[in-house]
Amino acid sequence: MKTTEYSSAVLNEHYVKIAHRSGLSIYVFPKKMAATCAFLTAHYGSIDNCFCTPEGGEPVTVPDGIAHFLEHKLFENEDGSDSFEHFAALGADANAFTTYNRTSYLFNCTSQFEESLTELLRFVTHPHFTAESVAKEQGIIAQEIREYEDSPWERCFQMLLEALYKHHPVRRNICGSVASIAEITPELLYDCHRMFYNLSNMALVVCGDVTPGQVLRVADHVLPKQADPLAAVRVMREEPALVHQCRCETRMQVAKPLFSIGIKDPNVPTDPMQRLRRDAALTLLDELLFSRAGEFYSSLFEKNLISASFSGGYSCEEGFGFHAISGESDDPELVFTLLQEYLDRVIREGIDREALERCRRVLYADELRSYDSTDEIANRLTAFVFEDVDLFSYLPILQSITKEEVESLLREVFRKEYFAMAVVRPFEEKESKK
Amino acid sequence: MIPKKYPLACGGTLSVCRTDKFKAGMLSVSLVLPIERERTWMTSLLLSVLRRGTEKYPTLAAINRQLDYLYGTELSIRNFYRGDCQIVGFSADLLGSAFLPDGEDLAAEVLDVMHQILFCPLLDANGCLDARYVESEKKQQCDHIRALKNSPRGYASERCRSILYRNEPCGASIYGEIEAIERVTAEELTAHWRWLLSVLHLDCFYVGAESAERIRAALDVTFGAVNPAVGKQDPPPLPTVVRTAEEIIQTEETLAAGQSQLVLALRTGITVLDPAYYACMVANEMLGNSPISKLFVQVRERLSLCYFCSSHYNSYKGTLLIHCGLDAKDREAAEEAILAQLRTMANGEFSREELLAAKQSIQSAYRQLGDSPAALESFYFGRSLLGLKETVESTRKRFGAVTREDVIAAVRGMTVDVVYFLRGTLAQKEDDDEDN
Repeated sequence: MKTTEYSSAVLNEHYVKIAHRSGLSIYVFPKKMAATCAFLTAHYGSIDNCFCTPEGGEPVTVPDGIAHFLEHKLFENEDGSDSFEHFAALGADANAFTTYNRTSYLFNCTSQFEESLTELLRFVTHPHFTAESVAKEQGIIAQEIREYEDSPWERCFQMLLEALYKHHPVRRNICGSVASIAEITPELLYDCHRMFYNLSNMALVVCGDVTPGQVLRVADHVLPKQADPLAAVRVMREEPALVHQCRCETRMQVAKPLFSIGIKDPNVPTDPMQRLRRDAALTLLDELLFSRAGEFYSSLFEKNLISASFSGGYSCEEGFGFHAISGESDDPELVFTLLQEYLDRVIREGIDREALERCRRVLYADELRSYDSTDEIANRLTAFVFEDVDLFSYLPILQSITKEEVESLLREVFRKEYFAMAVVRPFEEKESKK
Repeated sequence: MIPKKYPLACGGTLSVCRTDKFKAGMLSVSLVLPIERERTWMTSLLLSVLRRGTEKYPTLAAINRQLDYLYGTELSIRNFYRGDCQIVGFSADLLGSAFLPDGEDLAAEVLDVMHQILFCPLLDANGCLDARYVESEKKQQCDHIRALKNSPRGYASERCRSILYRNEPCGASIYGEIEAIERVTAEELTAHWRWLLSVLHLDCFYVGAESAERIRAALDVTFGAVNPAVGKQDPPPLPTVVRTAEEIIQTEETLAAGQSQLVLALRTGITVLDPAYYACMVANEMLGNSPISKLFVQVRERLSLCYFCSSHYNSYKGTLLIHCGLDAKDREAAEEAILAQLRTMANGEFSREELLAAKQSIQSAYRQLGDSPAALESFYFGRSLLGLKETVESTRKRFGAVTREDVIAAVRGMTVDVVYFLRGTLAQKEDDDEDN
């Protein structure tokens, strides 16, 4: 088994990567904390709704929300037990979540680590679905979808993604819709599990007061002796560079209008290291442009044009990236206009070196703080491992980004045709009285 | 990790948990005030106004720039209820000096910002708080109150609490009423600020790698000259406790949302000061605080009535809230199922494994308190309000001794006080449309 070590002198931290014979990539990050945390993750999320099987043939399209549905159902075992019960009996706290491109199953514990890890590796690799349990879950997830639909911030952000993207599946809700999850069957769940829960498409990340030897002892015992790679091929329709719609609006129970302004990034690099560098540089730029210490937020806030509920930042993953600036305002259109005017001026005048260094300090400190929790370390390391990028490479990249690089990006990314805005307005007077 | 206590020159106290476990430590400065309907919301408003600008940092942006310069230190306003007290002040997450390139004394510099905010706000020629900031924050606070309805789940909990605590101090809204906020003047708020300074007694707490001496010295330099006379303050009032509900209050309201919310408020009669506290925590864990709890397994998984159904125990007030989000048509079924779970537990219909799992889960959570500066602070600060001297470890061990009979007795003592239902009218409208 090949073992690779990574370390950072600045952070005073290290971890190892072990290529396990079963095909699973295992990462162990030792940390002297009471809680040990383990994440078992499939490189499979809500955007993987169209794929070709390894046997070839036509692309298969599955119902929206199936990755999330699968995450809920995997806790049920063939003997009728529920894995939550097994973890609870061991004193461990288990959970799971689905993102656009990952599904993670996790636990944290303060004792009986090896027993809990055995349960994690066992239940995720042993699916059991029945028509009856699928039907029951449809009712539960329908309520989860309803809850999201009642959240104006969630709705606003969802509408923004629908405005930015024409085809890319990131525009669909991670949970799917009540209609799409009604199409899910046990057979479809088994197919998706077979395609994406192959150990070669997964990673185990453990962070806590444990040794690689402890982790390997369990993996050797539970997992197959050899790899059986079988990978589905994601099929993505080509996404236009321009936004799909400039504006998107709805009315809900809100006190004043909420807005999300998005700026689509059609130039997300395919190379993971280049993508990480772009992510770091644009995060630095957005900190400079949209933080609470910055001119844009403070000038609008001082004029009572926005409330304290304001955020702005960049995020990207393989295949998509965008800036999102969200807040509350009586006049979202004016905020939109002022934002474009502000960006035009910064593009003309360039950025302030001192402000850039201050923002770099903030991000440096944020990065350091993220190493104070085993949960957070395991979660962040998981995001890096599917990119095959060393977690510790982020800090040196952040430190090496130049003012010129940030200014060049500033000119590139904020083009008018990449802008869209979603707005949630209050019901009109007569509507709310209904 | 047990905090050591030090007296401060300003009359307050500093508690320190020294540890090099974290890259960033936490420093909090708190003031404990009894909740008073006429004053509490004004204190909330005052904090926001003070945070807007000071003599040295006249704008919000200037304060935030200084904090960003201090390695992005997050200086948060503390403003919450514990029992019938309002806790106000600041907390800051401080990067340890080992990780600062020039080994700066971050604590001293951040405390200087706190001092500016508390003692040197921007004043006009008449010594009055800046009217622009007062007006702007009045508007923000009113907007915040109106925006509570943006989250049906949060709104329903808040409404149920206000009905439950209608006759107790903590029933007063921390943000107040819109009409009163709109009426308050800059002069009145300035007078309130001066009153606050006259009763100021600081409880400070630090978790991190710096020495207690260094933090104490920084606090004494910053707050040294302030109010030593207030040092011998009376201990904060103990929470009022209603042991049993006399009758059930049923309230139904509507909101333009798809999902409805059902919240049941119970009196347990047991607070953290009672010997039965440990049993009540275990009962709450078994009832609705985990994915193997009665409410999760029966109401969500088996009956498929909702996405969430959980319980929350307020150990300062001895109350327990059960909350679920559901379709309006399932209201009766859900309420009946929730009450059935309480009856089940009162009848002792739970396994040895369920009891053991709940105790293990709580004990594990207590072991993990030491992994978070904020959690450690919350535990020790909360206990000190009640004059309790127990440590995390001694508290954790006591859960191990909870028996089946203890849990049954705790559940049998619970009485329903409020049943609050927030009917989502949008789903009803969709159903009506379908019928037509």
